Amino acid sequence: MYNFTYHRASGLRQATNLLGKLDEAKLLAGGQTLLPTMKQRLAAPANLVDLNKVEGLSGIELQGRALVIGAMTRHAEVASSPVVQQAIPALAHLAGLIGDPAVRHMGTLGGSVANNDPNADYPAACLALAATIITTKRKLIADEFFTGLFETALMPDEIVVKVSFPLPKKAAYEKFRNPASRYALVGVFVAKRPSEIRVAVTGAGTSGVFRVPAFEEALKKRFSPKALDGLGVPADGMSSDIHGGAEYRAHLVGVMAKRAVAAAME
Amino acid sequence: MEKLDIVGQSKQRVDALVKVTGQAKYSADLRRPDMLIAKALFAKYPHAIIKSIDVSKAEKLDGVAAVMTAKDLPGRNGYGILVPDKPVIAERKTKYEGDPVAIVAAVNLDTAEKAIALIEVVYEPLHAYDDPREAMKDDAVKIHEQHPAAEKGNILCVLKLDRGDVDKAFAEADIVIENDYETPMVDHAYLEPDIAIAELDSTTGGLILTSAGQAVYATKRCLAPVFGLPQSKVRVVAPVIGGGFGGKEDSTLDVCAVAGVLALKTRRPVYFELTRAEVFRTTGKRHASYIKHRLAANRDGKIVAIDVQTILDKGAYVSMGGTKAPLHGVTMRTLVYAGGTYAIPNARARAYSVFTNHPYSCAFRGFGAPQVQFAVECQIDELAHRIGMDPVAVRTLNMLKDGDMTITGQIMKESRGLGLGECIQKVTQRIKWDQPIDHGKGPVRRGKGFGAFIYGTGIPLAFEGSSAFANLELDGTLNVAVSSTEMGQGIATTVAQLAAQTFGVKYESVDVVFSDTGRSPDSGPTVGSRSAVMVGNAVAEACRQLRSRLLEVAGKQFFQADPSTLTIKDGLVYVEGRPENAEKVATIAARAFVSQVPLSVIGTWFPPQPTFNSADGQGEPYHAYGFGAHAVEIEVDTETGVINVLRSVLACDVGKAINPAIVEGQMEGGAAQAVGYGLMEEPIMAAGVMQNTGFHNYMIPTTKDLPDLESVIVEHSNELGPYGAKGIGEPPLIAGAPAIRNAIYDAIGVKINIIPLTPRRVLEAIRQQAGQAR
Amino acid sequence: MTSDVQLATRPADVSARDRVDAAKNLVVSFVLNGKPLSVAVAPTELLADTLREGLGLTGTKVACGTGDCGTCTAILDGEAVRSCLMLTAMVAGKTVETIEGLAGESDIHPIQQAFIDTGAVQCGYCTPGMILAAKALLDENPKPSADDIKEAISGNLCRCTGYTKIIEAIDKVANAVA
Repeated sequence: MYNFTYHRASGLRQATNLLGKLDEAKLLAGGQTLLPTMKQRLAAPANLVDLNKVEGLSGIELQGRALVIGAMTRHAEVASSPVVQQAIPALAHLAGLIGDPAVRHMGTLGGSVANNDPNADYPAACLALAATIITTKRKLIADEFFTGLFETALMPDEIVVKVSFPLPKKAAYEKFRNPASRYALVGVFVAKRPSEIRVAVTGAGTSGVFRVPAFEEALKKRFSPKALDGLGVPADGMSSDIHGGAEYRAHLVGVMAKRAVAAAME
Repeated sequence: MEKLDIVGQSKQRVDALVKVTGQAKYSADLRRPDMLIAKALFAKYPHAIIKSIDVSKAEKLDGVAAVMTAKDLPGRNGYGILVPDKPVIAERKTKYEGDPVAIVAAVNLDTAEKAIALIEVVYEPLHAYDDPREAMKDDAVKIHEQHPAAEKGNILCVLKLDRGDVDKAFAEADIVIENDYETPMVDHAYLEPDIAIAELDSTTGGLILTSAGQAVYATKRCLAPVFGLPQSKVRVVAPVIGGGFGGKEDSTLDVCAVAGVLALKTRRPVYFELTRAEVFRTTGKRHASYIKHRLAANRDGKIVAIDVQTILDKGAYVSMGGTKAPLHGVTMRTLVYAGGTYAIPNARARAYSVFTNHPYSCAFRGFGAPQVQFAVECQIDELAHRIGMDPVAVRTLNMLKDGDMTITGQIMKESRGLGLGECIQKVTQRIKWDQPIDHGKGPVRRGKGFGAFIYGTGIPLAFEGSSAFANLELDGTLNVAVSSTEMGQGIATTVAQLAAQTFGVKYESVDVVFSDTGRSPDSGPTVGSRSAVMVGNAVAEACRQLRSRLLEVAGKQFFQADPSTLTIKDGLVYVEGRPENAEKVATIAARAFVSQVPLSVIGTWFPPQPTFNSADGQGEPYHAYGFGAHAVEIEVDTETGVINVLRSVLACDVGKAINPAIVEGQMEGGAAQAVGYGLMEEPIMAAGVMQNTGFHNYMIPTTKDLPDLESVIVEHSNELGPYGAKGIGEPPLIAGAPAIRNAIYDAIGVKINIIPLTPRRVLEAIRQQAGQAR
Repeated sequence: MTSDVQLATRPADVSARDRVDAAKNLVVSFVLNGKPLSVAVAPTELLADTLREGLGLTGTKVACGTGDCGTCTAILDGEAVRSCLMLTAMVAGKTVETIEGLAGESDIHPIQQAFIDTGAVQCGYCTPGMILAAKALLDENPKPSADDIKEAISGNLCRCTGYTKIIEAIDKVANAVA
């Protein structure tokens, strides 16, 4: 790991100020992605601003027809929260599939969405549930927030504060796990919302999380796995690595989507 | 018969307490005053000419104590267990990405890493060979321009086995089954990374090497010439080891060589630890294999002949691969096991060992048996399906029985333990083989599969035999010293139980010193499932000698009785049947001590001299064989290709389980590694560069990938083993992969002859078959 | 095996131990195995290194350095975490338990005893992390199902045992009649 200066932020305003004034500063949330990346010297921030002592960034709350989760809320808290399990069971299920218990005890929702790893689980949930990402500066809908591989609409001194998930009528997440890294080789989140149906895919796309309009159209006509018969996503645009080629990923998107629809119907 | 009250019991491991409390000190936990940290600059290109190396910037860096290239070495720039063909530091060429090009010792890791980054090397990259079938062609670039043992080009050796009239048998047979099989390289994936600490020995002026290694004496012999030291001045110590599985027989040489030459150069202790990625990239792997297996049989299921060609991916160096001379190694095993555990009258086998630019292929649990027996066990299943016979029945019909001859011409004897029949019976009973399985109707289908195996105990054609030291202390406790290493397999506990039982003290009164060339005689390497038998016999022999010396004194000076009427039990000596008039061992030991009776004994044991003719593969390579059967129940997700192992039932004939819990542990661990071998593990190589060098992309089984692993111990006594024991470390891995493959066929009728059976590979095969059906 | 993929770059590497010579200019106070303490660390220092190098508690192992193996597991405020993916600075004000803190003066922890009794220990490199993961589980969920146990230790690799006896040991503690 390269050397850096450590800053323990005591409040959001201080954290924002530090981010604004320091060179090459990065936020430290759970550290489960950032620290291994730094250890591999793939990232070398000159300054780390630790959010772990900032009050008010974690918590789970039902606000009307939306579930609002603080950015520093750990995956384990989301997975085991009775509120989440009641309101959006698919989201609790998804959180429980991230990494392994040790990762879930440290890793945070905010860290996951801000990093926008193409194989991470949360971006699929945000996109499919039409979540709103609330930052220190503004509110961004998920469709605008995730802009590409490890890319988001966040500005350098902007911090994710919480994410608001509108309650769907039905939803499910099906993940084809890479058994070694436990990341999604392909993960499909299907949500039947009052106004629309959304299908979001993580792990597969060359430019990160994406929606599948053809699936959404078909499911709008008939919300059933059978509605997806004969439909698929083109291998073109799917990523390819040692764990699975583009064709295999494209195939899995179809399989996981059907399974997610079936699970959502249960 | 002697009643056993220690041997055969699941005694608490001698090392359990220190391990559960975190007190056990592994190599990584040791520090020396004034210790330097070493790093190696490994080859940038797996196959390249080194045009120039400039270390001047690194040398000038503050805190760097030494930078060494090949020209700075104190002795021979080559080592290896069988052939000294692996350089400490590559000089003219790199042959795989684990070749060090330069090495550094510095005051801390940070400085050492900075120094490494400052070394400038100019390479001329050459074509890197991933496939031995390409590397063995006549026009291939020679990886070793001059190799001391290579037969031709990149072909290290071709070994042959011939028995009977194979061509005639094939011509006359009712059925011929011919298939190609492929098995992968595999990383040992021991959790403790490779580490060596080298320091000067202030008494001898030589070196002390402390390293997680499986063969302390072999390390000393291999590396003394590298250091330019006589063997007597090199002491090798292995603390408790965090897993080895065969790999740390070789990898310890790699780290010891680097640490050792730097310690000699700097005159300071040097610590060298490989990162996990370096462990993956640079240390040995299982030999990948490409097998063409032909099998001839009659309609009644009787196998009449085999004709097998195996091409082994040798990687860059000989390691434990074996050559024509010395013959000992993995290549020879692919001949011996080419017919599996079956009586086959006619056999032809050819084994090619071919250099590539991969990590050197070395010893790995199973040592040549898993590759070829994967092919055999798939062939047997196909035979069964072709003639409409139950796969287990075909195995029972053909299995080696008392008086049968193996394909090497060795006659099998029940007196050495032939428990295969009982293993098959126990496994089929437990998994309810006779009851039909519900294959399922949806996308997820179920199936059952079976595999059987044979594995010889020990390492023939190399030094085979053991010495052990036993010292009776004057308080009645017993010290035993062996050079075997404790890497988790439980040898220290096994030895303590054998010693206590044989001598007659309580188990708790025995302490075992292990793996230190300065403190024990040569017990041989800790490999080949040999230690319980070879080392066990040597320990038992030492304890028997001590016992008779003590009884002699007791008879003469205490009981006025014939020593043969006396016994020792739980540390008490008495006339058999009269424990009420006992003397303590301590009392008699104290008398013996002043009566000029030596209480320090070296016990030795050698198996019957193995034979193996390199011209035709005939002989008696092992004194005894272990056997076993493995059945699995699996489900196949036909939409994703994912295989889930639901049940695994393994029975092994171990001769005698000296510690049943330890034996079960070996069986469970072997079965788990078999699932990894069959389903997930595979180094992904691209032009000699390993792509998956972390546990996040090189998969080994987790709790989520394994069922409860069921084990059945079968004991067919080996007359030459201590209390009847045979080897158990390696056999449990062998038949799991073919059992899984056979279960997939049972579930969905798809035949796949390449492992690992990754989801992608399974799905492809399903689609291919569906395409052909259309 | 040759793969069909050709990746240009070699995978990144990481040192299992980060013995950085940066100045130890941060003082971090926390409770370790029941005792409060303050240590001076470098900002880059990882909890695993502070424990092993700074405090000499080598029961915590480091086998990969990338958070994939679980041998460095420690318990932080009651939850199992990876000490190799945690800056020591992050544990300020928190409670840390390591394997060295489990045994009492006169007897070892029931989980440690169960590991010994069931033969769940082989090479021992995974053992401290495995026991701590088990303790974190049982402290929170004293009667876990077999699946709960498998999940709780799913991030702890073991190459020796096939996990069978480890799961049995944890189950034995959970279902022991008090």
